[in-house]
Amino acid sequence: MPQAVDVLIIGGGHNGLVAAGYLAKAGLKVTVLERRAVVGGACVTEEIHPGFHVSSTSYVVSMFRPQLIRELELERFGYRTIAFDPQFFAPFPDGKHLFIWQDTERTVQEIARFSKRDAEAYRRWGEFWDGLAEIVEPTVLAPPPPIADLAGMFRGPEAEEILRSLLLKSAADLLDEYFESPYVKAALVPGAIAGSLAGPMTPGTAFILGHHAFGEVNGIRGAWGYVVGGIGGLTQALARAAEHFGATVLTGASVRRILHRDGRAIGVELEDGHTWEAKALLATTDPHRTFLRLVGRDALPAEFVRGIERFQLRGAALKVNLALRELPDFTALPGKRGPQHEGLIGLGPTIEYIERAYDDAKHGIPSREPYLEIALQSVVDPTVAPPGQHTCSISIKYAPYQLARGHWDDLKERYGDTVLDVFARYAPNIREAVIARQVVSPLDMEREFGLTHGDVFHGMILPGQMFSFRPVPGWSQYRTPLKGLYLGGSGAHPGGGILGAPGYNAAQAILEDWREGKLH
Amino acid sequence: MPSGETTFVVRAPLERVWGFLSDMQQVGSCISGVEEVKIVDSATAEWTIKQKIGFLTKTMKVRTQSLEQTPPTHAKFQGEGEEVSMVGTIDLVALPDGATQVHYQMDATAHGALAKIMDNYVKTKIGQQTQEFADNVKKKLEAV
Repeated sequence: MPQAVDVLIIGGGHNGLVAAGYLAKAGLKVTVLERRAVVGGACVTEEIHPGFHVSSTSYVVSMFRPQLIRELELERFGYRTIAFDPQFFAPFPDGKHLFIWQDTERTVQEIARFSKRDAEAYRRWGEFWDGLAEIVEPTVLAPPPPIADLAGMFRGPEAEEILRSLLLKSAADLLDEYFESPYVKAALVPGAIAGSLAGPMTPGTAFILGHHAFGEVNGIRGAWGYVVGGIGGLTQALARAAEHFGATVLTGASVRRILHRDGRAIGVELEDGHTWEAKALLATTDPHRTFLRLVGRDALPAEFVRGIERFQLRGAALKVNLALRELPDFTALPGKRGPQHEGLIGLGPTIEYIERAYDDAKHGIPSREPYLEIALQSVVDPTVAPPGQHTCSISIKYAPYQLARGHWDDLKERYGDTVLDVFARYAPNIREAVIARQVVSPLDMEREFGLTHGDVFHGMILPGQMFSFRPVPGWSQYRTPLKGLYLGGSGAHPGGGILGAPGYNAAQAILEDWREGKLH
Repeated sequence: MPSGETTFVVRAPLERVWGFLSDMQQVGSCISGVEEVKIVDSATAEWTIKQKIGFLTKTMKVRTQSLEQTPPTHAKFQGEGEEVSMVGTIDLVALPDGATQVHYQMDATAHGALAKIMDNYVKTKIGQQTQEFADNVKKKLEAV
């Protein structure tokens, strides 16, 4: 006998749990089905060695919407964040280093050590992104308008130039327009390559910088931070909130297929053979997994299927997570503990270096000289490691899912060594500091976290796949060709990253249809 | 629907505050972003509103009508534009010390393809705009 609810949510990641909270709060009977033994999707904290809790895949927050924190009362359910400062530390092989601080004026002074002109330009750079954030932010918790209407807001030569910069330019080109120092450009470019198989010189990567520019932590605009206890602290709080509002959250419930009849989604079948019925299904799985695997091509219009097949999922990130007995001692700023350890740390000396790393990846070769982004959360959040010891999360660009040669299972530990070799050039003590190591390859991300092709954003976030193009033109409003089936993961507007917005927007679409009697 | 409200005290007698706030020209001049007020007739005006969203500037024309007037304490007006509708109410109370308490409320709703986005934008701004209205009214009435 199948179990029946109003709404079934496939996937207990942050978007699924946000949707569960809102739908349950509105009085609907909601069940979340999470395949893994823990909720959180790719937003989880795991113990890699006794006492060492790391954020296995995603590791910092900024873009998660404050409105969701308020309305789902997440602080009441244990959600706490720390906005680290400095925001970014870039050590360079020649012994120089550069900090990006929360405070603009402090960063201006820092940049002036490299270039007085760039120091002035940094103020304009900040104003540019603040201005953009004011435009982009209202688009986040709303269904995407047609791209033509959105573009129509940019009237006049100045606005058109901004639109051109955002949609068509590379991050490298945009940075060149503001800055002259290669050090400064290298420190400001990483946001453009987060989560995408694209290099800083790829047209459209200026947009990715913008995608990461409208966040805040603890009310500090533009700041990035840690979730206390690791990134899983967010999804644990979301799960507690959803349950408080009446949702049921089940783990170990892996969906084999979405059941449908006469063009309408009616339920799911689990891997263990159990079936569930629901008036509405919200899939927070990525578009490929949702439509090509769980629904199946035959149940969908051919043109839609072609659109989904064309929607690009291209994972390019690998994680190395470490348990450390001591912190890395950077040659560029020696010291056992200092501001250099508090925020994100970028090891990539120039834009050209990062582009060369991408050159390898686009030919299916893990970057021989990769870019590393390092987070030592335990420095500001001692809850994640034993006293005096530390966690270290390293995100590596680029590790293409599609390899020209070999298999990730054979390659990943050796590649973990390559990563440590690069790290050791900047902090020679790192090898001896390692107590335990976890390598998460793009293939692991697919198998373990359900991210098709290891794409952490459920689809590239280049302009051609955003707003009303996401995931397919004509189907960006969270509804799908299968009546009663909604898409609310990062493959829907406004895309990847820890925003919670796709889940929120999809929940609003379901509530709208529910109130209009379309789901009864 | 985005909504903003404020209650503030103006150091001026009720009749004077009423005289000011029942005048469409004066009300318009206190609403931030209103660049021009064109009086159509005794109960209708056309406001030209310029809004800055980041580095974009949007100009809208809103036809404003007085809906209710109960002198000297209550006024309600509505504005209709292609992209936005608004309803504002003003309620006045004479205070014992000769000052006047003003309660002002404004509801705004966006229309068109960008409606939900504009609503979200207005939500973030309406509190500030309501406060600016209060500040402008006080400045103008208390200056003399």
